[in-house]
Amino acid sequence: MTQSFVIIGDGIAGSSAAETLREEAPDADVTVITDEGESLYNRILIKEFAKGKLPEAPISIHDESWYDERDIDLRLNTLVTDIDPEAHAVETHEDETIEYDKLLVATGGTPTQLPVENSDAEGIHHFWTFQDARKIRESAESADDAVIVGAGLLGIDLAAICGAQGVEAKYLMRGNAWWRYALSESGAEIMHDAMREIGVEPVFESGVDRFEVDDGGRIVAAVDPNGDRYECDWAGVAIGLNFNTEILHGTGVKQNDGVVVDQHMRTNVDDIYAAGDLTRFYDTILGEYAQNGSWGSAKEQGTIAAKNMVEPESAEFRWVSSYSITHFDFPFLSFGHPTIGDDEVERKYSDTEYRRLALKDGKIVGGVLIGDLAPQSAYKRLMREERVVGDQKEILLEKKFDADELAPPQEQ
Amino acid sequence: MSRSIVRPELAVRRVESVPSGSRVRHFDELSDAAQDRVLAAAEGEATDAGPLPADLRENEVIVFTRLYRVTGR
Repeated sequence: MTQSFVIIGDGIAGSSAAETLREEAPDADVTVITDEGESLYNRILIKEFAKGKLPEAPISIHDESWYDERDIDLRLNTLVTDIDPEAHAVETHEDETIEYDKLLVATGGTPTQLPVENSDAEGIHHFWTFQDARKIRESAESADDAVIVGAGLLGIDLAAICGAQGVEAKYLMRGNAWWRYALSESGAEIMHDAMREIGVEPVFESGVDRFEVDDGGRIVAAVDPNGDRYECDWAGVAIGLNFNTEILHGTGVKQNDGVVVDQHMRTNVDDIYAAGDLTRFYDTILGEYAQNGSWGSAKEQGTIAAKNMVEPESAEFRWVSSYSITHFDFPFLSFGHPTIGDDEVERKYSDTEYRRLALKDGKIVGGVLIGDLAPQSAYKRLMREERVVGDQKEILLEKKFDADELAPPQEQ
Repeated sequence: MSRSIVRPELAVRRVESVPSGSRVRHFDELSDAAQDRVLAAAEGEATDAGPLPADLRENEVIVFTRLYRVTGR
Protein backbone atom coordinates (compact mmCIF):
# COMPACT_ATOMS: atom_id res chain seq x y z
CA MET A 1 0.00 0.00 0.00
CA THR A 2 1.27 3.47 -0.90
CA GLN A 3 2.49 5.55 2.03
CA SER A 4 1.02 8.99 2.50
CA PHE A 5 3.09 11.89 3.85
CA VAL A 6 1.55 15.26 4.62
CA ILE A 7 3.59 18.38 5.32
CA ILE A 8 2.05 21.53 6.74
CA GLY A 9 4.18 24.51 5.73
CA ASP A 10 6.19 25.29 2.61
CA GLY A 11 9.08 27.19 4.11
CA ILE A 12 12.57 25.79 3.83
CA ALA A 13 11.90 23.08 6.46
CA GLY A 14 8.73 21.81 4.78
CA SER A 15 10.15 22.08 1.31
CA SER A 16 13.41 20.29 2.10
CA ALA A 17 11.34 17.56 3.76
CA ALA A 18 9.19 17.19 0.64
CA GLU A 19 12.26 16.91 -1.56
CA THR A 20 13.83 14.32 0.73
CA LEU A 21 10.62 12.30 1.00
CA ARG A 22 10.40 12.09 -2.77
CA GLU A 23 14.02 10.90 -2.93
CA GLU A 24 13.65 8.38 -0.10
CA ALA A 25 10.17 7.12 -0.99
CA PRO A 26 9.71 7.46 -4.76
CA ASP A 27 6.24 5.88 -4.78
CA ALA A 28 4.75 7.66 -1.78
CA ASP A 29 2.03 10.30 -1.86
CA VAL A 30 3.51 13.61 -0.72
CA THR A 31 1.25 16.58 -0.02
CA VAL A 32 2.45 20.06 1.01
CA ILE A 33 -0.14 22.42 2.46
CA THR A 34 0.53 26.13 2.98
CA ASP A 35 -1.65 29.10 3.79
CA GLU A 36 0.71 31.35 1.86
CA GLY A 37 -0.14 32.23 -1.72
CA GLU A 38 3.30 31.58 -3.15
CA SER A 39 5.60 28.58 -3.06
CA LEU A 40 9.04 28.47 -1.48
CA TYR A 41 11.06 31.65 -1.74
CA ASN A 42 14.39 32.64 -0.29
CA ARG A 43 13.63 34.16 3.08
CA ILE A 44 17.27 35.12 3.58
CA LEU A 45 17.30 37.25 0.45
CA ILE A 46 14.09 39.20 0.98
CA LYS A 47 16.11 41.78 2.94
CA GLU A 48 18.18 42.40 -0.19
CA PHE A 49 14.96 42.88 -2.15
CA ALA A 50 13.66 45.33 0.47
CA LYS A 51 16.96 47.22 0.30
CA GLY A 52 16.44 47.61 -3.42
CA LYS A 53 19.54 45.56 -4.20
CA LEU A 54 17.82 42.59 -5.83
CA PRO A 55 14.78 42.25 -8.10
CA GLU A 56 11.96 39.81 -7.33
CA ALA A 57 12.98 37.03 -9.70
CA PRO A 58 16.01 35.54 -7.91
CA ILE A 59 14.10 35.44 -4.60
CA SER A 60 11.83 32.64 -5.80
CA ILE A 61 13.29 29.18 -5.26
CA HIS A 62 10.53 26.85 -6.41
CA ASP A 63 7.80 27.64 -8.86
CA GLU A 64 4.77 25.37 -9.02
CA SER A 65 6.31 23.26 -11.78
CA TRP A 66 9.01 22.13 -9.33
CA TYR A 67 6.31 20.34 -7.34
CA ASP A 68 4.63 18.97 -10.47
CA GLU A 69 7.88 17.51 -11.74
CA ARG A 70 8.33 15.65 -8.48
CA ASP A 71 4.71 14.59 -8.22
CA ILE A 72 4.30 16.56 -5.00
CA ASP A 73 0.77 17.80 -4.39
CA LEU A 74 1.16 21.50 -3.43
CA ARG A 75 -1.88 23.18 -1.88
CA LEU A 76 -1.41 26.97 -1.78
CA ASN A 77 -3.76 29.29 0.15
CA THR A 78 -4.92 26.33 2.20
CA LEU A 79 -5.29 26.56 5.95
CA VAL A 80 -5.22 23.44 8.10
CA THR A 81 -7.91 23.85 10.73
CA ASP A 82 -7.64 20.58 12.61
CA ILE A 83 -5.36 17.60 13.15
CA ASP A 84 -6.86 14.32 14.31
CA PRO A 85 -4.00 12.07 15.49
CA GLU A 86 -6.33 9.12 16.10
CA ALA A 87 -7.76 9.19 12.58
CA HIS A 88 -4.39 10.20 11.12
CA ALA A 89 -6.05 13.02 9.20
CA VAL A 90 -5.95 16.78 8.81
CA GLU A 91 -8.87 18.99 7.89
CA THR A 92 -8.59 22.16 5.80
CA HIS A 93 -10.61 25.39 5.86
CA GLU A 94 -12.55 24.04 2.88
CA ASP A 95 -13.64 21.02 4.96
CA GLU A 96 -11.43 18.70 3.01
CA THR A 97 -10.01 15.76 4.93
CA ILE A 98 -6.53 14.55 4.01
CA GLU A 99 -5.30 11.33 5.60
CA TYR A 100 -1.67 10.73 6.46
CA ASP A 101 0.58 7.93 7.58
CA LYS A 102 3.17 10.44 8.79
CA LEU A 103 2.64 14.16 9.35
CA LEU A 104 5.23 16.94 9.48
CA VAL A 105 4.35 20.26 11.09
CA ALA A 106 6.60 23.00 9.74
CA THR A 107 4.40 26.02 10.13
CA GLY A 108 7.07 28.40 11.46
CA GLY A 109 6.04 31.54 13.25
CA THR A 110 4.36 34.91 12.99
CA PRO A 111 6.06 38.13 14.10
CA THR A 112 5.18 39.27 17.58
CA GLN A 113 3.25 42.51 17.75
CA LEU A 114 4.36 45.14 20.25
CA PRO A 115 1.86 45.21 23.12
CA VAL A 116 1.40 48.98 22.92
CA GLU A 117 -1.23 51.46 21.74
CA ASN A 118 -1.68 51.65 17.93
CA SER A 119 0.75 48.81 17.26
CA ASP A 120 -1.44 47.68 14.36
CA ALA A 121 -1.55 51.10 12.70
CA GLU A 122 -0.99 51.54 9.00
CA GLY A 123 2.71 52.05 8.29
CA ILE A 124 3.92 49.74 11.05
CA HIS A 125 5.66 46.79 9.43
CA HIS A 126 6.84 43.44 10.65
CA PHE A 127 9.45 41.70 8.58
CA TRP A 128 8.95 38.02 7.93
CA THR A 129 7.37 37.17 4.57
CA PHE A 130 8.09 38.21 1.00
CA GLN A 131 4.87 40.18 1.11
CA ASP A 132 6.18 42.04 4.18
CA ALA A 133 9.35 42.84 2.23
CA ARG A 134 7.36 44.25 -0.68
CA LYS A 135 5.41 46.55 1.63
CA ILE A 136 8.55 47.67 3.46
CA ARG A 137 10.33 48.42 0.20
CA GLU A 138 7.37 50.46 -0.99
CA SER A 139 7.26 52.41 2.29
CA ALA A 140 11.00 52.94 2.41
CA GLU A 141 11.25 54.20 -1.15
CA SER A 142 8.91 57.10 -0.39
CA ALA A 143 9.96 57.87 3.20
CA ASP A 144 12.29 60.33 4.88
CA ASP A 145 12.18 59.08 8.47
CA ALA A 146 11.60 55.74 10.16
CA VAL A 147 11.69 54.11 13.58
CA ILE A 148 13.11 50.63 14.14
CA VAL A 149 12.31 48.46 17.17
CA GLY A 150 13.95 45.16 18.12
CA ALA A 151 17.64 45.04 18.98
CA GLY A 152 18.41 41.68 17.44
CA LEU A 153 19.33 39.90 14.23
CA LEU A 154 16.06 40.76 12.44
CA GLY A 155 15.88 44.34 13.65
CA ILE A 156 19.25 45.17 12.18
CA ASP A 157 17.94 44.09 8.76
CA LEU A 158 15.32 46.82 9.04
CA ALA A 159 18.05 49.29 9.96
CA ALA A 160 20.04 48.24 6.91
CA ILE A 161 17.00 48.66 4.67
CA CYS A 162 16.66 52.23 5.92
CA GLY A 163 20.32 52.86 5.23
CA ALA A 164 20.16 51.43 1.71
CA GLN A 165 16.98 53.35 0.86
CA GLY A 166 18.27 56.67 2.19
CA VAL A 167 15.82 56.77 5.10
CA GLU A 168 17.02 58.40 8.31
CA ALA A 169 16.04 56.18 11.22
CA LYS A 170 16.01 56.05 14.98
CA TYR A 171 16.73 52.55 16.26
CA LEU A 172 15.01 52.35 19.65
CA MET A 173 16.59 49.78 21.99
CA ARG A 174 15.51 48.89 25.52
CA GLY A 175 19.03 48.24 26.77
CA ASN A 176 22.40 49.86 26.34
CA ALA A 177 23.56 47.87 23.29
CA TRP A 178 22.41 46.00 20.22
CA TRP A 179 21.99 42.22 20.81
CA ARG A 180 23.24 42.60 24.36
CA TYR A 181 22.66 38.93 25.15
CA ALA A 182 25.30 37.79 22.67
CA LEU A 183 27.99 40.42 22.65
CA SER A 184 29.46 42.97 25.01
CA GLU A 185 29.12 46.74 24.69
CA SER A 186 32.62 46.77 23.26
CA GLY A 187 31.60 44.46 20.42
CA ALA A 188 28.21 46.07 19.95
CA GLU A 189 29.86 49.47 19.53
CA ILE A 190 31.25 48.28 16.19
CA MET A 191 27.71 47.61 15.03
CA HIS A 192 26.47 50.95 16.45
CA ASP A 193 29.14 52.83 14.49
CA ALA A 194 28.14 50.96 11.32
CA MET A 195 24.50 51.92 11.86
CA ARG A 196 25.42 55.59 12.31
CA GLU A 197 27.42 55.53 9.11
CA ILE A 198 24.33 54.59 7.12
CA GLY A 199 22.10 57.16 8.82
CA VAL A 200 20.55 54.99 11.54
CA GLU A 201 20.92 56.39 15.06
CA PRO A 202 20.81 53.89 17.93
CA VAL A 203 18.79 55.21 20.88
CA PHE A 204 19.56 53.33 24.09
CA GLU A 205 17.47 52.79 27.25
CA SER A 206 14.46 53.50 25.05
CA GLY A 207 11.82 51.33 23.33
CA VAL A 208 8.20 52.12 22.52
CA ASP A 209 5.51 53.18 24.95
CA ARG A 210 2.97 53.96 22.19
CA PHE A 211 2.63 54.90 18.56
CA GLU A 212 0.81 58.08 17.51
CA VAL A 213 -1.38 58.07 14.40
CA ASP A 214 -3.06 60.68 12.18
CA ASP A 215 -6.80 60.95 11.52
CA GLY A 216 -6.51 58.24 8.88
CA GLY A 217 -4.95 55.80 11.34
CA ARG A 218 -1.47 56.04 9.88
CA ILE A 219 1.60 56.17 12.09
CA VAL A 220 3.18 59.59 12.58
CA ALA A 221 5.44 59.00 15.58
CA ALA A 222 6.73 56.63 18.23
CA VAL A 223 6.91 57.72 21.84
CA ASP A 224 9.35 55.92 24.11
CA PRO A 225 8.95 55.21 27.84
CA ASN A 226 11.01 58.31 28.63
CA GLY A 227 8.43 60.47 26.86
CA ASP A 228 10.73 61.22 23.93
CA ARG A 229 8.85 61.45 20.63
CA TYR A 230 10.25 60.31 17.30
CA GLU A 231 8.38 61.35 14.18
CA CYS A 232 8.42 58.82 11.38
CA ASP A 233 6.84 57.90 8.06
CA TRP A 234 6.90 54.21 8.93
CA ALA A 235 8.11 51.89 11.66
CA GLY A 236 9.70 48.45 11.52
CA VAL A 237 9.15 46.06 14.42
CA ALA A 238 11.15 42.85 14.92
CA ILE A 239 10.84 41.72 18.52
CA GLY A 240 10.42 37.99 18.03
CA LEU A 241 8.17 35.25 16.74
CA ASN A 242 5.01 33.60 17.96
CA PHE A 243 5.08 30.00 16.81
CA ASN A 244 2.20 28.90 14.62
CA THR A 245 1.05 26.03 16.79
CA GLU A 246 -2.71 26.71 17.04
CA ILE A 247 -3.45 23.66 14.90
CA LEU A 248 -1.76 21.43 17.47
CA HIS A 249 -4.34 22.35 20.09
CA GLY A 250 -6.00 19.18 21.32
CA THR A 251 -3.53 16.85 19.64
CA GLY A 252 -1.51 16.12 22.76
CA VAL A 253 1.70 17.25 21.10
CA LYS A 254 3.99 18.52 23.85
CA GLN A 255 5.01 22.16 23.70
CA ASN A 256 7.44 24.15 25.81
CA ASP A 257 7.98 27.52 24.14
CA GLY A 258 8.08 25.58 20.89
CA VAL A 259 7.15 22.10 19.74
CA VAL A 260 9.28 19.58 21.64
CA VAL A 261 11.00 17.05 19.38
CA ASP A 262 13.81 14.59 19.88
CA GLN A 263 16.95 14.42 17.75
CA HIS A 264 14.88 12.60 15.11
CA MET A 265 12.42 15.53 14.87
CA ARG A 266 9.75 13.32 16.38
CA THR A 267 7.10 14.72 18.72
CA ASN A 268 5.64 12.76 21.62
CA VAL A 269 2.58 11.85 19.49
CA ASP A 270 2.89 8.86 17.18
CA ASP A 271 3.55 9.69 13.53
CA ILE A 272 3.69 13.46 14.04
CA TYR A 273 7.01 15.19 13.40
CA ALA A 274 8.00 18.85 13.48
CA ALA A 275 10.80 20.86 11.89
CA GLY A 276 12.00 24.43 11.49
CA ASP A 277 11.71 27.57 13.57
CA LEU A 278 8.93 26.28 15.81
CA THR A 279 10.83 23.33 17.31
CA ARG A 280 12.54 22.94 20.66
CA PHE A 281 14.80 20.11 19.64
CA TYR A 282 17.17 17.85 21.51
CA ASP A 283 20.60 19.17 20.62
CA THR A 284 23.00 16.24 20.69
CA ILE A 285 26.01 18.59 20.81
CA LEU A 286 24.78 20.57 23.82
CA GLY A 287 23.16 17.58 25.47
CA GLU A 288 20.04 19.61 26.16
CA TYR A 289 17.01 21.03 24.37
CA ALA A 290 17.61 24.10 22.24
CA GLN A 291 16.08 26.36 19.62
CA ASN A 292 17.38 27.89 16.45
CA GLY A 293 15.81 30.01 13.75
CA SER A 294 18.45 29.91 11.06
CA TRP A 295 17.79 28.92 7.46
CA GLY A 296 20.39 26.15 7.45
CA SER A 297 19.07 24.64 10.66
CA ALA A 298 15.49 24.60 9.35
CA LYS A 299 16.59 23.03 6.08
CA GLU A 300 18.53 20.31 7.86
CA GLN A 301 15.67 19.65 10.29
CA GLY A 302 13.31 19.16 7.35
CA THR A 303 15.69 16.70 5.76
CA ILE A 304 16.24 14.76 8.97
CA ALA A 305 12.51 14.64 9.73
CA ALA A 306 11.77 13.26 6.26
CA LYS A 307 14.37 10.51 6.56
CA ASN A 308 12.90 9.44 9.87
CA MET A 309 9.36 9.59 8.53
CA VAL A 310 10.39 7.03 5.94
CA GLU A 311 12.69 4.98 8.18
CA PRO A 312 12.28 5.72 11.92
CA GLU A 313 15.48 6.66 13.80
CA SER A 314 17.55 6.46 10.63
CA ALA A 315 18.94 10.01 10.95
CA GLU A 316 19.88 12.35 13.79
CA PHE A 317 19.91 16.14 13.85
CA ARG A 318 23.39 17.31 14.75
CA TRP A 319 24.06 20.78 13.50
CA VAL A 320 26.09 23.90 14.23
CA SER A 321 24.04 26.77 12.89
CA SER A 322 25.36 30.09 11.69
CA TYR A 323 23.86 33.42 10.76
CA SER A 324 25.64 36.31 9.13
CA ILE A 325 25.01 40.01 8.68
CA THR A 326 26.42 41.26 5.41
CA HIS A 327 24.95 44.76 5.23
CA PHE A 328 28.08 46.68 6.15
CA ASP A 329 31.63 46.99 4.86
CA PHE A 330 32.70 44.33 7.34
CA PRO A 331 30.95 40.98 7.92
CA PHE A 332 29.34 39.71 11.12
CA LEU A 333 28.70 36.05 11.91
CA SER A 334 27.15 34.32 14.89
CA PHE A 335 27.24 30.56 15.24
CA GLY A 336 25.87 27.96 17.62
CA HIS A 337 24.24 29.36 20.72
CA PRO A 338 26.15 32.54 21.65
CA THR A 339 23.62 33.61 24.28
CA ILE A 340 24.13 30.61 26.58
CA GLY A 341 27.09 29.04 28.40
CA ASP A 342 28.86 29.27 31.76
CA ASP A 343 32.04 30.98 30.53
CA GLU A 344 33.14 33.31 27.77
CA VAL A 345 36.14 34.92 26.16
CA GLU A 346 36.23 37.99 23.98
CA ARG A 347 38.67 40.35 22.34
CA LYS A 348 38.43 43.49 20.26
CA TYR A 349 41.20 43.62 17.67
CA SER A 350 40.35 46.93 16.00
CA ASP A 351 37.45 49.30 15.39
CA THR A 352 35.94 46.72 13.04
CA GLU A 353 37.22 43.40 14.42
CA TYR A 354 35.90 41.54 17.42
CA ARG A 355 35.45 37.99 18.60
CA ARG A 356 33.52 36.43 21.46
CA LEU A 357 33.17 32.74 22.25
CA ALA A 358 30.62 31.25 24.63
CA LEU A 359 31.71 28.10 26.45
CA LYS A 360 29.96 25.50 28.56
CA ASP A 361 31.85 22.87 30.52
CA GLY A 362 34.98 24.04 28.70
CA LYS A 363 33.46 23.44 25.25
CA ILE A 364 32.59 26.05 22.66
CA VAL A 365 28.79 26.33 22.37
CA GLY A 366 28.58 29.46 20.26
CA GLY A 367 30.24 32.67 19.27
CA VAL A 368 30.19 35.96 17.45
CA LEU A 369 32.82 37.10 14.94
CA ILE A 370 32.94 40.62 13.54
CA GLY A 371 35.27 41.73 10.77
CA ASP A 372 37.48 38.72 10.33
CA LEU A 373 35.46 35.53 9.83
CA ALA A 374 38.45 33.39 8.88
CA PRO A 375 38.32 31.22 12.05
CA GLN A 376 34.62 30.44 11.70
CA SER A 377 34.87 26.94 10.29
CA ALA A 378 37.57 25.97 12.82
CA TYR A 379 35.43 27.15 15.74
CA LYS A 380 32.39 25.33 14.36
CA ARG A 381 34.43 22.17 13.99
CA LEU A 382 35.62 22.38 17.61
CA MET A 383 32.01 22.81 18.70
CA ARG A 384 30.84 19.89 16.56
CA GLU A 385 33.62 17.70 17.97
CA GLU A 386 32.79 18.83 21.55
CA ARG A 387 36.49 19.53 22.19
CA VAL A 388 37.32 20.77 25.70
CA VAL A 389 39.28 23.97 25.01
CA GLY A 390 38.24 26.28 27.83
CA ASP A 391 41.72 26.07 29.36
CA GLN A 392 43.33 27.42 26.15
CA LYS A 393 41.61 30.76 25.79
CA GLU A 394 44.69 32.67 24.68
CA ILE A 395 45.18 30.34 21.74
CA LEU A 396 41.48 30.55 20.87
CA LEU A 397 41.68 34.32 20.68
CA GLU A 398 44.89 34.62 18.70
CA LYS A 399 44.24 36.83 15.71
CA LYS A 400 45.43 34.15 13.32
CA PHE A 401 43.80 31.27 15.17
CA ASP A 402 45.23 27.88 14.26
CA ALA A 403 43.39 24.88 15.72
CA ASP A 404 46.56 22.81 15.35
CA GLU A 405 48.14 24.89 18.14
CA LEU A 406 45.59 23.60 20.64
CA ALA A 407 46.65 20.77 22.93
CA PRO A 408 45.57 17.40 21.51
CA PRO A 409 42.09 16.29 22.57
CA GLN A 410 42.01 14.13 25.70
CA GLU A 411 40.61 10.64 25.47
CA GLN A 412 37.13 10.61 27.04
CA MET B 1 29.33 17.38 5.66
CA SER B 2 30.45 19.41 2.66
CA ARG B 3 32.55 17.85 -0.08
CA SER B 4 35.16 19.38 -2.27
CA ILE B 5 35.87 18.41 -5.83
CA VAL B 6 38.58 19.60 -8.15
CA ARG B 7 37.17 22.06 -10.69
CA PRO B 8 40.18 24.18 -11.61
CA GLU B 9 38.26 25.91 -14.38
CA LEU B 10 36.10 27.79 -11.86
CA ALA B 11 36.87 30.64 -9.48
CA VAL B 12 35.03 33.01 -7.14
CA ARG B 13 35.27 36.63 -8.24
CA ARG B 14 33.74 39.91 -7.13
CA VAL B 15 31.11 41.43 -9.42
CA GLU B 16 29.23 44.73 -9.30
CA SER B 17 25.78 43.48 -10.26
CA VAL B 18 23.69 40.35 -10.69
CA PRO B 19 23.59 39.20 -14.32
CA SER B 20 20.04 38.61 -15.51
CA GLY B 21 18.86 35.06 -14.94
CA SER B 22 21.60 34.20 -12.47
CA ARG B 23 20.86 32.00 -9.52
CA VAL B 24 21.46 34.03 -6.35
CA ARG B 25 22.19 32.69 -2.90
CA HIS B 26 23.19 34.26 0.38
CA PHE B 27 26.43 33.44 2.19
CA ASP B 28 24.37 31.71 4.92
CA GLU B 29 23.16 29.05 2.47
CA LEU B 30 26.67 27.80 1.78
CA SER B 31 28.64 24.96 3.33
CA ASP B 32 31.52 25.89 5.65
CA ALA B 33 33.98 25.12 2.86
CA ALA B 34 32.13 27.32 0.38
CA GLN B 35 31.90 30.10 2.95
CA ASP B 36 35.66 29.89 3.43
CA ARG B 37 36.15 30.24 -0.33
CA VAL B 38 33.98 33.36 -0.45
CA LEU B 39 35.81 34.77 2.58
CA ALA B 40 39.10 34.24 0.78
CA ALA B 41 37.75 36.07 -2.27
CA ALA B 42 36.56 38.93 -0.05
CA GLU B 43 40.02 39.18 1.51
CA GLY B 44 41.55 39.35 -1.95
CA GLU B 45 43.40 36.09 -1.45
CA ALA B 46 44.15 33.86 -4.40
CA THR B 47 40.92 31.98 -5.03
CA ASP B 48 41.81 30.10 -8.17
CA ALA B 49 43.88 27.46 -6.41
CA GLY B 50 42.58 24.33 -4.74
CA PRO B 51 39.36 22.42 -5.08
CA LEU B 52 36.12 24.34 -5.28
CA PRO B 53 33.46 23.17 -2.81
CA ALA B 54 30.81 21.03 -4.45
CA ASP B 55 27.91 23.25 -3.46
CA LEU B 56 29.17 26.23 -5.47
CA ARG B 57 27.69 26.24 -8.98
CA GLU B 58 29.03 27.94 -12.04
CA ASN B 59 27.54 31.39 -12.71
CA GLU B 60 25.69 31.65 -9.44
CA VAL B 61 26.02 34.87 -7.47
CA ILE B 62 26.69 34.89 -3.74
CA VAL B 63 25.48 37.80 -1.62
CA PHE B 64 28.07 38.65 1.03
CA THR B 65 29.30 42.14 1.99
CA ARG B 66 29.69 42.48 -1.79
CA LEU B 67 28.51 40.29 -4.66
CA TYR B 68 30.64 37.34 -5.72
CA ARG B 69 30.16 35.17 -8.78
CA VAL B 70 31.38 31.66 -9.48
CA THR B 71 32.90 32.04 -12.93
CA GLY B 72 35.07 30.32 -15.46
CA ARG B 73 38.61 31.65 -15.67
